[in-house]
Amino acid sequence: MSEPLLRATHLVKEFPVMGTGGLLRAPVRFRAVDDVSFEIRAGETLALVGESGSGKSTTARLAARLLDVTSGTVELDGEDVTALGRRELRRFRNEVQVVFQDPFSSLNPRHTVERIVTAPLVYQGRPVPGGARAFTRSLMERVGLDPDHSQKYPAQFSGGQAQRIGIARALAVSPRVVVCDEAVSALDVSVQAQVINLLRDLQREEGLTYLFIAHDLAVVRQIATRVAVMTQGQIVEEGERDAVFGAPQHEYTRKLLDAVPRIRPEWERQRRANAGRPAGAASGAQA
Amino acid sequence: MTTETPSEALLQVRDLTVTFATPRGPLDAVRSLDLDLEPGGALGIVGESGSGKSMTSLAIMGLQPRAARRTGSVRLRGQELVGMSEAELRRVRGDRVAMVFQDPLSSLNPYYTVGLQIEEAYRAHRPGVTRREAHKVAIAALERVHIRDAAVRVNHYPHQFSGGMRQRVMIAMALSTEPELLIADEPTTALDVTVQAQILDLLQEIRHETGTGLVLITHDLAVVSEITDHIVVMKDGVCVERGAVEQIFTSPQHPYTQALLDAVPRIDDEIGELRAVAPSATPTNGGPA
Amino acid sequence: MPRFLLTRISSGLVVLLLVCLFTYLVFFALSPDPAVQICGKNCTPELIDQIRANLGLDQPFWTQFFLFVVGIFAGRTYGDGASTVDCAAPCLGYSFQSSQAVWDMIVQRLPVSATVAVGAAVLWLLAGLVGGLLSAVKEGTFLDRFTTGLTLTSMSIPNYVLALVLQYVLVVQLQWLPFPQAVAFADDPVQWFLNFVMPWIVLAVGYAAAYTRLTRANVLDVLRENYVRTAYAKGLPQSLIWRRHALRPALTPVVTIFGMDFAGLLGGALITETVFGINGVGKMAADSIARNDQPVIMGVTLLAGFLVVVGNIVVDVVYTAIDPRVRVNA
Repeated sequence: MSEPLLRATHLVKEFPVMGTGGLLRAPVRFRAVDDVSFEIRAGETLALVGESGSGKSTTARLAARLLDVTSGTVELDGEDVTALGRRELRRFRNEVQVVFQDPFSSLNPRHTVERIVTAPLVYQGRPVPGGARAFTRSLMERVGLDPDHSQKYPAQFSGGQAQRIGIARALAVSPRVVVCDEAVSALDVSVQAQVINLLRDLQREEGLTYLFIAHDLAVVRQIATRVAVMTQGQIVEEGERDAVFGAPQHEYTRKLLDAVPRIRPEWERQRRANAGRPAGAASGAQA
Repeated sequence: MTTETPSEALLQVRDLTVTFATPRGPLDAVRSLDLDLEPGGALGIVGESGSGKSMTSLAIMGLQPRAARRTGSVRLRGQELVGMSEAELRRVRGDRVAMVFQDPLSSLNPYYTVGLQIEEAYRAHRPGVTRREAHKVAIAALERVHIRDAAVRVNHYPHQFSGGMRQRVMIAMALSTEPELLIADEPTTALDVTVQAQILDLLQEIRHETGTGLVLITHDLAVVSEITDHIVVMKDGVCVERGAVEQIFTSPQHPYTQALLDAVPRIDDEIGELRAVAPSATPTNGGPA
Repeated sequence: MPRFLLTRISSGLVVLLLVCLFTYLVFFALSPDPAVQICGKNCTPELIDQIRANLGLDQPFWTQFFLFVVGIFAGRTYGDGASTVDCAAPCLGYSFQSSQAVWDMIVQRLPVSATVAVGAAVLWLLAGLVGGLLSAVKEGTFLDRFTTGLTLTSMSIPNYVLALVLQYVLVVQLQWLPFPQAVAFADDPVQWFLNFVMPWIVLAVGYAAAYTRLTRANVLDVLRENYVRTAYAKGLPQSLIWRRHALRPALTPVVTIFGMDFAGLLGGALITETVFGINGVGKMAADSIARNDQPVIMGVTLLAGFLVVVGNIVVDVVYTAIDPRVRVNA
């Protein structure tokens, strides 16, 4: 078994509770992440699933070093990155990128796609390989956007397309790990499917490693290699995807899986039987 | 005015159109929509963002934005609601037709106790009812939706409840007047999946016990498949397909419905390539809302 | 609740102490030797030294500052031996100019400034709330646009210009108001009242404009809230929706701002009082600055700081009473 690419060990994150501190009194501290450990091997997708307040997003932010840990360590390729200084952090940022939930609020509305996508390189003073225009075009093609639209602004794109821009920006620095923080949660079902497919294709073709944060178990089923179930700041169950979904061990996992609304399996079978030949036509282009 | 017969439809919508005047000309948020709901039935309106499903729910109640124009016909047990005066509509709203919205926190007024908000809904339609009587109704309504210690909780403020409990409060408020029709607009979208399951169970239970008709508006196909008996699929303000729930889920006729069903990620399914609806790589005009 | 108050009061005291220290520092560093000022023209070096010793000016900075702070709470005694002056509890020192106790000067003028502030506040609250509500109800109409134009104009007119224009128009040209004369309330209540009309208007105009805009924006925001939609969906009468679901949330932020604005004004309206020659704390502040009367400047600054801190605490307390979310979390 190869060494993990990203390893989190005993992560703890505490936040002061608003309004509890005084002039001379320390505020009450709330433990959002409580002793969380996980490993992701290169080319894998680890999904962190949980309900609101489970600490999954905070964990993702700790792993991407967008937040500093209260205690514990994050290692990339065996190197402890928890205490990196400013300069080394820049190197880390080139290895680990984040895609956020709301594509529009995480893209600067006044910048063109080209400026957004090349920004990570420009800020670092690195040359843009092949020039900004060509670089942007190739990135846009990789994420399934029309490269002729590199001079447009985020508001001119739909939600799914905007999320593709977010992914393109993350890919600009050629990271090894992409943290997807509810990256498909805000999207409509049809668009969500496209973006999930894109993420899977990118992984297959380029060997990307994902830390995938989601509350939607069905989505997780479609993309995860391994699944970690979080509640109240802790991972209560972790394992291979099919093991967790097929034979959940922890009571909370079972409760979570039971709660997911489902289309009746007999209807599904019937529909597939009915569709038969015309099923392929369904994926064709309609307005 | 038509006479009421027992077999009369609870809700009959014909040619409902909601039009906004925009600088680029009139824009139909909902166009020529027909809906039918029998007493005690449950109708699901499914669509993605921008499909006009939420506008439909507001337009049934005459609550569309002031800038919008509503035409067509909305009949509640044969009684026409389009063209009614505000005063007449007010007697229908909250009494015969009640609504539950997506985000229970912002849909409840943070300044008042949940009790007061239930009481005012009840008293608005029961003139002469005293505060004390309304208070008892409020407690009973909270008990009805299985909120424990209702007599204490009735005096609490919305922020003192969890998300799921708040939605129970909204449902209690809607049910306090024993409406004939409940319109629920994405009632579980803002909730965690375990809480969603509880709220859906509650809606089912209420339907079976009180015979209240239900219009459920959602983007979630699995949710409608579980609790409605008829479905209308909307896209761009138009109904593209309608039918009994089993029919829609086993033999969808319209390509959009088929594509939508294909795109739903399955929790129990083996993984294949998810079918995407109409992939497009070009920007939309005007951008999303 | 009491603990929350205690926290607020203790942090308020710290703020006041810092204000105190800062003003003391500034004047200590900037002002010319006060002893020379007090001494006047016929002065000898011995006399200056004596004054210094009496006022404690020969002490190091921190000692002086400490004595000043202690004086506020416990009073202090100036000088030693034969010629001592006892300065009672809220001791802010004596004016270099008039040798009056600063505390007495403030107490004497505070009612005048309060009268100016209260009258103006009543005016601007009335105008601001009514204007804002009308503007919101009639959003987009001529009335709304007119009100918006008016508020923008009002906010851009400087106080002193408005004061002079009003005096010219109301007193000189139209003669609607008599020429201001110094009278006591008991002697001639009508003249007394009329004296204040112009200052009230001048002070109120800017605030009224700001409050109109604030009220309008708040009401429009609240009307777009989901809970207002819920109220309509419940079939509530229009009047109840307005009263209960729109106004209270919309006006709560106004309370906060009003508390601070009013507290700030109680400490004297510098420009308006000076222009109209009203003998309030504001005019006293302006005069003392012109004459570099350090103890008076310190006193007025502290008073203003005190009022703002108290105003803040009062606003917080009131807020917990109106907004249940704050009440329970506190």
